[in-house]
Amino acid sequence: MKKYIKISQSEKFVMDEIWKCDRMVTISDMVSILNSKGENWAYQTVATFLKRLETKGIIVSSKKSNVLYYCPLISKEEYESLEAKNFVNKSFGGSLKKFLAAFSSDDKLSGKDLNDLKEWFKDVDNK
Amino acid sequence: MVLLLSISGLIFSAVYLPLEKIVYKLTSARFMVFINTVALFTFVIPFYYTTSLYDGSEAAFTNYNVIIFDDTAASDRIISSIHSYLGAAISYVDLIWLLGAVISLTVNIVKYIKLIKIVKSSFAVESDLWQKPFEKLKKKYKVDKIFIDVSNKVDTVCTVGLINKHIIIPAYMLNIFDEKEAEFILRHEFCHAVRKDVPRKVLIIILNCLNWFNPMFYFLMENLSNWIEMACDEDAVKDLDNYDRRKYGGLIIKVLEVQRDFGLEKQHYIAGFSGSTKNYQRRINRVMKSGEKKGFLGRVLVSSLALASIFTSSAIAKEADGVVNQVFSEKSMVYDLENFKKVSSENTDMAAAGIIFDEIDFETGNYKEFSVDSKSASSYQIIYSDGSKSSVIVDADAEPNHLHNIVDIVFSYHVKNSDGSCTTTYYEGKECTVCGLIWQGDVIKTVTENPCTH
Repeated sequence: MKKYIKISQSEKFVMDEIWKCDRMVTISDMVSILNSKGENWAYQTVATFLKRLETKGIIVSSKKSNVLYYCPLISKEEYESLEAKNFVNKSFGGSLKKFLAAFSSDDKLSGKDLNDLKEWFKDVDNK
Repeated sequence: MVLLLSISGLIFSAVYLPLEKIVYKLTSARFMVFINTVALFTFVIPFYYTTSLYDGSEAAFTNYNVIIFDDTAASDRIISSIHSYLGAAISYVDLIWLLGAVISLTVNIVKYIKLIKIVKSSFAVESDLWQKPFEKLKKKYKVDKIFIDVSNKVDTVCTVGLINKHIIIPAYMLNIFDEKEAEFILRHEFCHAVRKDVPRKVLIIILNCLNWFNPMFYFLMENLSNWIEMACDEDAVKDLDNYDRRKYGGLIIKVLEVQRDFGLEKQHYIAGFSGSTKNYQRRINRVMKSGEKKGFLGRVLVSSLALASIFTSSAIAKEADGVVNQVFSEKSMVYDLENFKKVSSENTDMAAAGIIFDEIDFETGNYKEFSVDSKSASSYQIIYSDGSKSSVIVDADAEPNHLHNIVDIVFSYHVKNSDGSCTTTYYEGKECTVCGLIWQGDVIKTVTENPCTH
């Protein structure tokens, strides 16, 4: 069973681009892709990010003709599934029922809110 | 027929599989793949059918409207119980089988489509570790349409594709192995590609859809998968020295270790090993001893075992032919014999008409001399009191001045009608046994049959 690995928002941004690629990518490829989004990524920064992601076990590298190529170890769908499960585990003790219950709105009007509503209605009625 | 084929295959497997554990050491894994493929085909090729055609039993169930089994054996009582328990549901067996086959086929098609999606989502490997041995082996095995890809959706190295073959490396295995190990893995996968193991497996899965209800087929499928892997191991290590063979054996365990942390869904249309510890031990043992020659004698013994199993299974399936048709044939019905009266075979027509000779009153009646004025004398028949029959003599020879020797007879006149039916009229009669003269009396009965069975 694969474990969820937490990554930062910037790392997620980089991973989203890697997941979109249908081939293994080099550092130069990633610099081009990220900068085409209007960002300004330096070569070394991208290299550091990819190294970090590889250390975390999100991507894996291989060498071809002295160039490092990267590909994701886990698909985007699977990562997001693990992320969701981790969230449910942490916040709701693993209970899906509680998670779903958090979306139900069973708030009742407080006593003050009801009085305010009655006053408002009187004004409307008198007009 | 599907059920009979399944019985045939089941018997073959029941005889062959236990003995295979003894004889497999005598021959190569490649030959065992062949034998196991034959074993699976006993589920679809009707070897028993030739016997059924030869002894006419197959024709019996197709050419006749009703077949009566005159046997009070326990099997008939069981069949009778099956009929009464299942009732009308027995006629839906065909439909249930067809439904199961369609569902099985649909499920496998869906799995295949998912596999195609995995293949499409994979991408070309960019790695000297894998690409160098890949190019070298591509030249060695002279395989054109083969590609090496990487995917994060498979958990084992596999070969997929019927025409364009893809060797897919799981992403997590990209840089775990050394050069030699990567080459060993690719050698094994190239063997799958060269030996057309993927099309073989796909064919077997299609056949499985026809035998979805038979658990033995699944055993054999798994058995075949294991032999396919062992055959590829044999081919992959055949030109390796002892040191490399040991490394290859160790690699099998290393792959299992690295797979431990990844638990992706098993794919069916790829060539992959599935088995217990015992199977893996058998596999590694064969790799280590792969240099030992397997002689001709081994093949002969294994082939003899397979042939013996085919004959045994065919004979049993042939015996089951009658029983299966008794249970499932639309032409099979169960009746209580107590409701039937036994009829003498010598006088069946008259008895079938309900005419009993001894009960006819020949004394009263209006008799007149009878003569046949048409050439269709065969439509007339004389029936004597002892049940014997004879044809009416046309233009009987006249006997001068004799005393008639009169006997009571029943004679019948049979006419075939234009709509395929017939009418048989039974008359009281008397006949002179000396001159053959016949006196026709009253009509006893007129029987119409549609269609005419005479």
